[in-house]
Amino acid sequence: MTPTAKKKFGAALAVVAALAATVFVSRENNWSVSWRVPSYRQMGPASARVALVVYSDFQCPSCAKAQGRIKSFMQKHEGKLFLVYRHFPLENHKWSFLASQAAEAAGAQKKFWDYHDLLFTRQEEWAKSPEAPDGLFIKYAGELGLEAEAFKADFKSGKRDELIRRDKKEGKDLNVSATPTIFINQRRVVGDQQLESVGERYIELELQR
Amino acid sequence: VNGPAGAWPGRIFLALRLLLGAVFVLSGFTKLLAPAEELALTMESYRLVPVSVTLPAARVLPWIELVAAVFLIVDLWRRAAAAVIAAMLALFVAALSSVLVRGIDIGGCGCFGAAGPKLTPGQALMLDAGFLAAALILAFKREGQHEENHPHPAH
Repeated sequence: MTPTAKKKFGAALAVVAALAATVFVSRENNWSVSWRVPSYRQMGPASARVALVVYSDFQCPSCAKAQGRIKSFMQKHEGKLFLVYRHFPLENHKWSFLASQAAEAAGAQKKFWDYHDLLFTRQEEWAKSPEAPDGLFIKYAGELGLEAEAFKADFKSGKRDELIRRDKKEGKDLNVSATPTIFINQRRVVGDQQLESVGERYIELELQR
Repeated sequence: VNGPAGAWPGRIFLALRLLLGAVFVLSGFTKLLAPAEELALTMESYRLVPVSVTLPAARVLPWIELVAAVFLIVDLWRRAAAAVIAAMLALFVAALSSVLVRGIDIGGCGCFGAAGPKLTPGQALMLDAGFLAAALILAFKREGQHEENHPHPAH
């Protein structure tokens, strides 16, 4: 290698090292998954060795698919997983924030998970609605036997909007930009295909630690 | 070749090197700032390869882009660096053409990760085709070749 080539090689290494250091520092600063959510959005023992923190959007089709897989993980590893739901309503999904508000109102009556399941099962019905699907959300609450007046009052009161916004902000701090993003302890999985492909393996690995 | 007659091709080479290098440094760096799983998700949306391929590829590809681009900018092993970039661009062009032909809606192309500029697959295809031509010139043409083969007579 000629002296000029050596200098160029040194310069190239220095630039790559500087960029790599920036990347590693930026990743390090953004890495702490929080379980800080109301208890009605938690499932399983908090002392479980494996926590699944799910950043999800009720209007996202991939989230609907993923929730089926998450449910099967919970059944298969009963008592060994701790599930946490975090809202991440995307801007391009018109009714997602409203759905989160409705789910929060159901949560206030300790029916968050039932309502969560129903929102995903009936996603096609309400997601395509040209107008705000308030009526459908109230109907779902009725189907689950929620106290109608309390639900209606809670739903649009905005009392829990701050919780939804906090979830989203903390998700963004973790570099979440797509849904569903699932943290299996510290391992990140994005989308239902990745969950199908690596979810079970990550859970097994974490259970063995 | 080093005289005024050879200056233009040298400048063109320099411009192409710096342009392609800068684009690929930006592309690799912005992808690296986002989690690899998100890039893998973008790759999955092309419906060409399974998750078993996209996840490792998403971890490696941005580093290859970054290192090849830096070598191109400092003009060390230029042909090899340009050939690596050309190979990546050929893959991108093939993948983008494939989604356009199949009519798959992938949203953005994911070319610059989540933080970079958002391009539609059509825009990305046009750009990548141009960059591919530039990378092929850098990889296979000799700097100042034109003047060597057809020297201008001195008047």
